[in-house]
Amino acid sequence: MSARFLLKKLVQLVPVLFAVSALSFLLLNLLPGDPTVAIHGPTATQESRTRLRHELDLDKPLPARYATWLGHSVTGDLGKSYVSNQPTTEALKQRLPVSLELLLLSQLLALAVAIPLAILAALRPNRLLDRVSTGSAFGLLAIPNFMLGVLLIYLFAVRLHLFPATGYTRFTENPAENLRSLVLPAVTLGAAELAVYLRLLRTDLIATLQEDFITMAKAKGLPTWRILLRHALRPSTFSLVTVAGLNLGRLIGGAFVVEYLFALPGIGALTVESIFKRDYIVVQGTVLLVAVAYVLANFCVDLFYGFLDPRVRHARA
Amino acid sequence: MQRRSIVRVTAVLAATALATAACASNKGSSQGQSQGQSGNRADAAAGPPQAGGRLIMATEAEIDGFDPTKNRFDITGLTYAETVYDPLAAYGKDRKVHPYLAQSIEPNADYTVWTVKVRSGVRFHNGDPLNADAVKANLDGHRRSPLTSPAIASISDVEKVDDLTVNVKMKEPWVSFPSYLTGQIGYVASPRTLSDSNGSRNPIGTGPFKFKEWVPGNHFIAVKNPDYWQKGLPYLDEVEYRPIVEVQSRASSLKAGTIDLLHTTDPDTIVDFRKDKKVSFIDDAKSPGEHEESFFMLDTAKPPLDDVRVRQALAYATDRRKVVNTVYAGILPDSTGPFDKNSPYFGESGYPGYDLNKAKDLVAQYEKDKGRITFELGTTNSAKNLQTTQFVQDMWKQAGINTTLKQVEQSSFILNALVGNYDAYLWRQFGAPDPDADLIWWSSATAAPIGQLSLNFARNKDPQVDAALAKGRHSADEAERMAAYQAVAKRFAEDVPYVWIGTTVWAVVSKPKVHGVTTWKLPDGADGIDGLLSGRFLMSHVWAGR
Repeated sequence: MSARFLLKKLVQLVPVLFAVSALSFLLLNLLPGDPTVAIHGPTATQESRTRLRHELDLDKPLPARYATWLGHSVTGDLGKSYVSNQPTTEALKQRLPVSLELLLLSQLLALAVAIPLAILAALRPNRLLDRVSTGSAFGLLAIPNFMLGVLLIYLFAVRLHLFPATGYTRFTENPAENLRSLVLPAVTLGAAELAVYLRLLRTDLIATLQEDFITMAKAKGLPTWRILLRHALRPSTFSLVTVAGLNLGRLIGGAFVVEYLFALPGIGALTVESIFKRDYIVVQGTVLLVAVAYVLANFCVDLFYGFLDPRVRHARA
Repeated sequence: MQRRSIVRVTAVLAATALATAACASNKGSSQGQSQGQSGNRADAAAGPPQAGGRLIMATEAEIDGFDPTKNRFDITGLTYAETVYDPLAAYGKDRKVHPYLAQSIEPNADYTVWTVKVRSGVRFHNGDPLNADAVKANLDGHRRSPLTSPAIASISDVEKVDDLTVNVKMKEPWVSFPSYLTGQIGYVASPRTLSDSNGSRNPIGTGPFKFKEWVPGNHFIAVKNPDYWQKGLPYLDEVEYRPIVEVQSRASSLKAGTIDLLHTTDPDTIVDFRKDKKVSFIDDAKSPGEHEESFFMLDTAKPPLDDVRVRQALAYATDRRKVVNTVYAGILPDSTGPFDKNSPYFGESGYPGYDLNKAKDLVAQYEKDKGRITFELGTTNSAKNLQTTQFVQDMWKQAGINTTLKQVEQSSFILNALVGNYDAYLWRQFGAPDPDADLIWWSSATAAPIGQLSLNFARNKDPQVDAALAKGRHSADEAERMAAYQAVAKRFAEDVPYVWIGTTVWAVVSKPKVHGVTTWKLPDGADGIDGLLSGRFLMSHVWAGR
């Protein structure tokens, strides 16, 4: 991988992040509501409200507040929560592992099921397995995740007592419990992704399997599994990788719902709590984090293209 | 996904918090049950309390922080705070205020000075002694607090008398002052907690449990205080509180055994668990403690709602029972005033019952004089509140009153009410155990013109209400006080600044092994309040069977 390629991609990151943070700052401040009501309640006097607004810098013009915030955030200081006084970076540090683990597990789960199923389905298109898996995929796509979550809780937690209904155990505390507490949320979040990946990979594989070089490989007498895994799978994963990267945004959106439903202390839950409390500083921090994660994930996808297809690395376009 | 209003903006003005937000929300249900029916099943033949064990309780929200002078304690906040702190006073079964952390709370002859003496030999978790300086630091903190000071504005000075005693001096005779010490204002935090900028996240109190860990959004853990001043308490070795905002997830967590107990105001959860023989169930539908009421609050300062005929028409046009049965699964008692039927302050107020013809008559009278009635009907963006509002909007329409519905975000909602930027809002409030704490919401003194901050949100200036509130604050005669508050309710019934809907019911549901939620004794030997006090109970007296 050329250093030039990497550098170019990295430089592109800067304006994107800048735009994202500026826009989100603006949007948040357009929200109706007043943090002083959330903090001091209705009984506070006008004077104490004014004082609080001053303490929180809310009386300064928007660009000045953005500049201050940007200056601090570059040095890693994302400010303190208006409500709980907790430094935002500390809150993010507490919450990030939960969300990361959830996203990672749900993606792994989706891919681990989707890839073998897609291969099997592509091998014999329109046969029983293909039809069943395609049908189930549509079913999974059609169920909204909050609904699936409630169903899973009812079945596996309330009825069968196999998994906890809500809550999160830290990995450092008890690794087995940690995994147990994330199974249902990860399945809830991963189900729709699974369906998308399965459909996508199956279609691409079927197309690839009709290419000349596959016919060639077959003519040379290579075993089917070798053709599938060595020759067909890699060129067929282009759309899958693209979608997996883009999907991160969708997943994070889904994580907001799933974290709320399963009472997981992740970034999504933090964002929702903070929005309701008009805790702008914390919301700003979470939005920035999510934006950076999204941009970086797609950056990694770009790099991964290079690995999948060397032509990308050398393209000058 | 259902969502209750996460930020229940609360004003902590008295012994309990008063949720000014409108009703908690969840999906509707159409079955009805008999009114005020309670299905308490707990502690039948539980045997003597056993020490040890650990319990996990799920709460509907989370405390903002543990500094009583800076953070808002709603019911959840009080539930969290009660582990590490002790209140100076607590309500007994006799509905009287008993000293708790205080040894005694005595007034002078005309109730202008209250002498609060704390117990000797009590230590904070860090080893510092509990003394008069600590009590003074807390009360002075509240007097400076933008959050809590309006409730205790009548205090003129807090003076240290000796090492264990303070005199709280008042600007006016204040009979019900001790009731304020049963809640947020009565908790005694270590002066270090108050002065430390991180104190709200590392609380030090004298309470039955010591603070161990708080991961916001996940859990709060407190461990047994081995040197607790009430010998033999607490029974549990450790308690964990988890905020589970989603009502259905909270209920499922109990059924799945993930948690040991929960509290809720969600009607569907309550209906569900009342029938469930596998859990212990306690609700406060019949508890003598004061409950929050749900109602439509009217801005009486602007037309057409400045006309009493319109307000009365709204009351006549509202079929409260139908609202409660349809939207709240029939479990809320419908209300006819600021005090519910189990309250000692309750009296027949003559509040208008449902009568569509009377409503139409009043509307016709008004329209002849002043023209068509239209105004804006507001609620928060929660599903349950919207359901209630739409339902009532339709009832009013049948009487010829046209309203436009507007959903407003929670903190704007409260700000709008404060400055009078509303016509009629669905609201939930007035749950203080002593109605004196509601004075600031009802008094003419706190009613400001539109555009200015007015804690009397309805801007209802009523000399008769003022006189009754003053009597309630100044009089030491319990019968006279009751008469005074009944007079307030009567005036509200005639003048209708509020269109009443229903009374909030709290329930605590637990695994059968959990005992002691309502059976407990106060330090002076008296029985604790019978049932829950707006969802509150003392975790120090709860124990786990094997």
